[in-house]
Amino acid sequence: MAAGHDDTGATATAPTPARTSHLMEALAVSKHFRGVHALDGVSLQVAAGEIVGLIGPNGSGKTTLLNVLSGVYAPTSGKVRCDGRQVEGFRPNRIAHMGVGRTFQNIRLFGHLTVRQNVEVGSVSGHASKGVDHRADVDRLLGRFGLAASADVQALNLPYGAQRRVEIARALAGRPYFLLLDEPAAGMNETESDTLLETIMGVRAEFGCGILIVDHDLRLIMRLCERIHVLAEGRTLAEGTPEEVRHDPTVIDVFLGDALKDT
Amino acid sequence: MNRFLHSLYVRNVASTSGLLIGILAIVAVIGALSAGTGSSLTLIIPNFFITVIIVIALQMFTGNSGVVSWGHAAFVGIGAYVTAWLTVPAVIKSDVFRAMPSWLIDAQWSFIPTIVVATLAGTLVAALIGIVLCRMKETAMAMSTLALLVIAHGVYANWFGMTRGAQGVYGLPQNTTLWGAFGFASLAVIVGVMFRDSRVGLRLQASREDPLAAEATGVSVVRSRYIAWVASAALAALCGSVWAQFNLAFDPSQFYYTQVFAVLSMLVIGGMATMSGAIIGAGVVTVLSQILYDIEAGSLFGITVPRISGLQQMILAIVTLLILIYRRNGILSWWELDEWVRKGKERFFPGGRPRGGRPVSGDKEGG
Repeated sequence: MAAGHDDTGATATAPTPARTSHLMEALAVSKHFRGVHALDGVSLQVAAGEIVGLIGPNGSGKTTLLNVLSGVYAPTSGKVRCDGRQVEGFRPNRIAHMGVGRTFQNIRLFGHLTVRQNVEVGSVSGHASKGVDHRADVDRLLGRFGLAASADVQALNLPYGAQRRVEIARALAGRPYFLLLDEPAAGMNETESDTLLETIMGVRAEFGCGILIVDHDLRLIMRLCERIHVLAEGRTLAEGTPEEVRHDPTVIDVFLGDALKDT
Repeated sequence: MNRFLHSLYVRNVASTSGLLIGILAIVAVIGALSAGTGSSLTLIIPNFFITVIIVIALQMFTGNSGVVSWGHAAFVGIGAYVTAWLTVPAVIKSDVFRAMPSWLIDAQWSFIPTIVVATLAGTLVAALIGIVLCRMKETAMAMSTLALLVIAHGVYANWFGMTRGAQGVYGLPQNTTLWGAFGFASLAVIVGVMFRDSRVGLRLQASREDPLAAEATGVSVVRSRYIAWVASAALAALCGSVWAQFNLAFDPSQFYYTQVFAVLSMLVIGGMATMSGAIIGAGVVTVLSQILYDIEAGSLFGITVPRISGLQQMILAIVTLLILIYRRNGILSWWELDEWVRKGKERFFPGGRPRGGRPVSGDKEGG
């Protein structure tokens, strides 16, 4: 497979050197909403430099897991660890300060702020924001994601694809060890999804962070991820390499069943 | 300083505050020229500068955070009453403040020290209240500021021994001059613009746009709101002190709903998001109110017109409504005056700038 990130090689001064020791873990995490078991004892690990896919039918708890990992929800039970430190129940900003960045399923930019300001917020509020040349950092990220020309446009006036890129740039501006991407390929066609694949590969190479990606685009997930975690009805259905997951009969069953329901 | 003003290059503090202070200076010169002519401008213009201070104070908090505060009049009140305690001559004090401790009766402070202490008093109260207030959700916080307004009014109206209740306070020395008011308004402009372009200001604006996304980006929304709340209340208390030393007498009804709505309407009309909006709003409402006041009194520019009482409030309400319907973000919407000027220049004299971009540095990779 062509790991197409030629463009990233040009950026010699990566803002954060590749890290190897960072680990984010969910340990037997459950989340119940008034009796609905959105998550039921799910365990998952993401290490620095690793791309992990999180897939499953609608309502299987993927976004809930991302929300628990990023502090939006406190889990009903179970633990979340960031580099060995227990962080479940922390506010999202504290978890962000542990080096966790994220994007949202339905893009959540700071709409009336300019693209540059959006990325700046990430840069000055991230976990390693002391002694950093924010201006250079922001400029580089804007250039890196093809946003330099629209730096002074209000974010809400950007086209959809560019807004997705701003969200990723904003998350990366905080120099995260882990990047959680919630359906970054939603609404994209095959060409755009291929570009996104290259972008995410490039981000890993350049920033060295561990990436957890939720998406329905199996074509993207299968090519992108080293490991895939399959959820169904809040439980782990399967876990393994793309090859293993692809041939897992239970996975085939759930996805095929889902596909049949749709027709 | 550089750390504080991290985004100096994005929104040029110097150009925004320079232009706005320039405009205020022109108004001040008009005020100075009208001195001794018996014109009502000698009262209107210093009062306008004082209004500018309170509108900027409210902009710092509400404009940047998106959380409406109904309670800032309470801090104006604190500034005003502390000022009265410190400046009213001892002879009058023993009559006005029945329960005043003797050490305070003898105090008769000068202009600047009084303002400093009045501002600190407001800051202290805001710092205590803010601990609770800033942990609330947006709507709960707005409602609580309304409660604060009512509680503060209750204190001013009933703490007879120290406020003389509804009868009000008199006997303050006139320490605030036209140029003093202008100076403090200019200071407020600089503080407001710098605050908005500071890190805290930027984080606060992010939380206004999307509190959850801001938190996920590492912003402590509570902390950002707290800092803004305290800073903004400090400026409101300063305003109260400057105002009290210009008006010389006041009573609790001057720190209540009418004033709060007037200041909010200025922000809404001018545009909450910018300092220029706050000042333009203050200007528009001041001019409009004056014209309407004259009509109410039955004479406009020397011409006799039919008396219509209540016209002032009615027209202001209609203007506010029209702005809310047709120009929701106020006259200036999202850009400062100097940015509008630059935009206008670009439209009429296009000079190879990237489309939609404002002329700022750091656009190296731009197409």
